[in-house]
Parts: sequence; C-alpha cells; structure tokens
Amino acid sequence: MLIDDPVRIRSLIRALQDVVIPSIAPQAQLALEQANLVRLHLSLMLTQTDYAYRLQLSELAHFSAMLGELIACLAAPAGSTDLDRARQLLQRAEPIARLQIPDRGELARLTVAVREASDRILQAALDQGDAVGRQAAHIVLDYVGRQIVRERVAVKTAGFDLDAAALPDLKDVT
Amino acid sequence: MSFDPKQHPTEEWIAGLRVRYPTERYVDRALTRKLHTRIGPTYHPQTVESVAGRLRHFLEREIQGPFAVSNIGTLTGGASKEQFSFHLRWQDAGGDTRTERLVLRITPGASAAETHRLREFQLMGALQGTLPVPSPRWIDPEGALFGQPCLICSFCEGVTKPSGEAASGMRTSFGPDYRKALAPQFIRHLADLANVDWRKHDLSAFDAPRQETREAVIQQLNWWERVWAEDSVAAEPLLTLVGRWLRDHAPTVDKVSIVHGDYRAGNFLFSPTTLQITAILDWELAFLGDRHADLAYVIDPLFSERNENGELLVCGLCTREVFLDEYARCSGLPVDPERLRYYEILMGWRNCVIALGGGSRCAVGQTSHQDIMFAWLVPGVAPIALGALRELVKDLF
Repeated sequence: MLIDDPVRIRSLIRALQDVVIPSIAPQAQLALEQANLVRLHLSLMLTQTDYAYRLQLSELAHFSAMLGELIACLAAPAGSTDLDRARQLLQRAEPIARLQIPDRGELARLTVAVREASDRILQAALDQGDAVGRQAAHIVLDYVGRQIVRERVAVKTAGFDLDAAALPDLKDVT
Repeated sequence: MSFDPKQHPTEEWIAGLRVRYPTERYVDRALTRKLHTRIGPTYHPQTVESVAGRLRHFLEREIQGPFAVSNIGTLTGGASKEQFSFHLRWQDAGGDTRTERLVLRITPGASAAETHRLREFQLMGALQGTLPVPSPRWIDPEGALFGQPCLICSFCEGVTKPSGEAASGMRTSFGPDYRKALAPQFIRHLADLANVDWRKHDLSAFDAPRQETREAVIQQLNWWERVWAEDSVAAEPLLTLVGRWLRDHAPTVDKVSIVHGDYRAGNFLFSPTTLQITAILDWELAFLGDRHADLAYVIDPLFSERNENGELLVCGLCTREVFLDEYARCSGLPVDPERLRYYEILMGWRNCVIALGGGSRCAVGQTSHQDIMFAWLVPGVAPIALGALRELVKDLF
C-alpha cells in the first residue's frame, strides 16, 4: 500500500490543525476541545503505528511465558478444565509469540525496494527482445492483477468500486 | 521515514530530468517550479485573511481607480488548486461602477497534476463565445505579485451533480431526466471543441505539434513520464510495461485539436432548474493534440456509472456507443477505433501516473492543501485505474 497508515494519519492531523480547528468558532468550546482530542489521539497513534503489531506480539510472548511459569508452579497439576484450556492455549500461542516480525516501516521500505528492483529487471527483460519481453510482460500482468484485487478489497467499503459486491471479503484475502 | 531523494530534489537531478524528458515550454516551467517548491517549507492552506491581503495587493496593480473586495469564501471540490470566490466592486473603463462575483484559482504548494496557469487562462479566453467557459480576467502566471501563481475568472452558477445524488469523487450518478438533458450537451460541447480553429487565438503557452506526425503523442509521453520520474513513491512495473508499449506504438495525429484533457462529469456545471450546462471547467490539463484523447478519457471506466438497469454509462450519462456515434455526428469527424484504443491506453496510463505519482507524492510529502483528500482518493482510485489499464493491455503482449 503506497498510502500507508502513517501517511493517512499525518494527513488527518494536518487537516485538523490547518483547516478544521482554526475554523471552529471560539464559543464552540466542546467542539474545539474534542477536535483537539482527536488531534492528540491521532498524534499518539502515529507514534505507535509502526510498532503496534510487534508490541502486541511481545505482549503475547510475555503473558505466554507467565502462563507457563504459573502452570509449572502448581503443586499437583491434576487435570482440570482450566488447566487443559491453559495448556492448549499455550501450545497455540508459543509458536506465534516466537515470530520475528519487522516493524511496519521496515516492511514498507523493503517492499518499495523489491518493487524498484522488479521494475529494473523488467526493463532489462524488455531490452532483451520480444520473446523475453513477452514472458516478462505476462509475469507482470499476472502478479499486478492479483495485487490489484488485494488493494481493491482493502477499500471496497469506501464506495469507489463499481464492482465492489463481486469482490471477496477483506478477511478472506491473503 | 527513510530519506527520499525525490522529496529533496537537487538542481543537477532537475536538469537531468529536463534533458531526458523534453516537454512543452510551459509544462516544463510548471514541473520545474513544482520541484523547486518541494524543497521549501511545509505548505499550509491559504486562509481567507491571507488571501484578502494578497488579493488587494495584486488588484491594485491591475485595476485603475478605486475598487473593493468583499465576501471572500473558500470553494470546495478542487483537489488540484486552492479556490476562493469573492465579490469585486470597481469602475470599468467607461466609468460605470460594476460588482461581480469572481473566482481566484491559486497554484498550491503541490497538486496531483502540476500545470501552468497561463495555459488555462489563454484557453478560457480562446473559447469565449464557442463553449460555455468562465471568462478569464487577470493572471499572475509566475506569482510575482500574488506570491503564488494564480488567475482570476468569472464565477459561473451551477452544480456538478444532482442534489442529493451520491458521488464517489470520480463518478457521478445522474437520473434519467438529467441524462436526457445533459448527455446531448456534453457531447456537443466536446464535438465543438475539436473543431475550434485554435490557430486564430493567442495560445502562446502551447507548443503546437505538427499534423500527420507523432509529436503530439511524444509530448504527452514525455510530460507524464517526467511526472512519474519526479513524483512516484514506488515503482509500478505495469506502468513501465505500458509506457514502453505506448512509445513503440505512438500514432500520428490526423487533425490537431484542442484537447480538454479532463473532460468528464464533475468538471462541468449545469443549472439544476433548466438542466443547461453553464460552464466547462478545469482546463489546466488541456493540450493541443488528438481529439481521440478526450474521447478515450470520457469512456474510461473510472468515470463510468451504472443506470437503473445495470447498464454501464460513460460519465454516468449515456452508453459508450451512443457517446461515440453522437460525437461523430455532431463533430463531423471520424472516430477511428484503432486510435481510440491507443488513447484509451494512453489516458488510462496517465490516470495511473496522476493517482500513483502526483497524488501519492502530495500525500506522502505533505506539500499540498489537500493531503487528506489524496490520502483518501489514492488508495480508492489507484487500484481501479490500474485494474482498468491492465484490462486494456492484457492481450497486447
């Protein structure tokens, strides 16, 4: 996504700061206060957004470790519904908590670099004549086609897409 | 955020782009100015107060005798230029006092499509009496007096969409009565535009391409390839692929016409009571070239809307077949399917360049007055524009 969350949040903050808040009449104190709170919320979200997913994983790892220690400290771990559920959850959580997730900013930069490299290789392929160029063109059309669907789905509820109803749900797109 | 060299252009880089992509003189001026402005401080939208002072300062140089500016207000709807309306009271050359509502169009810190005010000013002048267009009054083409390039033109009454109709920002939904009244006018005005004898007018801000050559297309490709090189925030291989194809298959132009360049629903005003088109707006992307470019733009699926029966209507007004047949009849000019196909691809490619290039750059760079609009439109429009382009070219390779 070229316009990622930090870009969107910064644009919201600028609109509030530059246009909306200065236009609120001084006597509309509640509106002014809430507009400023919106701006503050957004500013805080902007500082968190790159790291939000990693922090959530850290939290999962943290509490999984705690749960493991708590289970271990039970004197006589006789079977119980709670204990069975705790062990199942731990089994599910531990591999996820071990995932090494890059910050979103790093992921975005890597994606841009991979796009750029693809573009240069495409140009080289097009320079190598019709047969290679055609093969490269088909690869591009295939991959771009699938990415377009992904991006259309991401904004299908925004009202831009004439054929939004034919698109899959966001939760079903990988 | 990592360092982005395009956001901090050097003189050497700018000079390199100007050599690599030779464009029309005034296109070059506008694009080069954009890059110089990008280096400057963060742009903040104009306030009514700041506009009032600068407007008075500007008009003092343009109007002999007393004048008064009042009722300054912002106009919405423009993602490209900052627009204000105001009332001007002054004495004309005959000494009579006149009051008129006018529009001030200001080049902001950045916009999705950077253009030169003189080009639209000259075109509005050239088309007076031929098409319903705002009447141009004064211009500060380089911003020497106003501080930013701007122009002043007459205010035209009208609306861009039926009252209560939803609009996505790119599409407009017209009911049957509106379509019946508006579609024939929409087509006729475009047909009239293609037949304007532009050589009779002062269009010195345009570099006219020669007929029966590929110059008109090459001008367009250089213009928008330069924009892509200046503005893109990430590579898009589909645009590279299609850009190559467009250059390899550029057709000649059988008749050089004025091309509006952004002719669609949303860019004309009509009276909600008489349903007469009162003004064709937004001439900033106009150029001299092939009329098929305008035809291709009108039928772009990005601007299409379905009617009550699910039928696809170009610009929400009529079917593609009706549009093209009526255009040929009204203009007396042939519609060549092969050229039309080429320009569908060219204009679809240009849509992507504007959305993914200029639009994204505005949002990422925070250099326009409408960052929030671009941050909203680009993710919504770009995949649709790319999808439409892919559909057009998928069998070409």
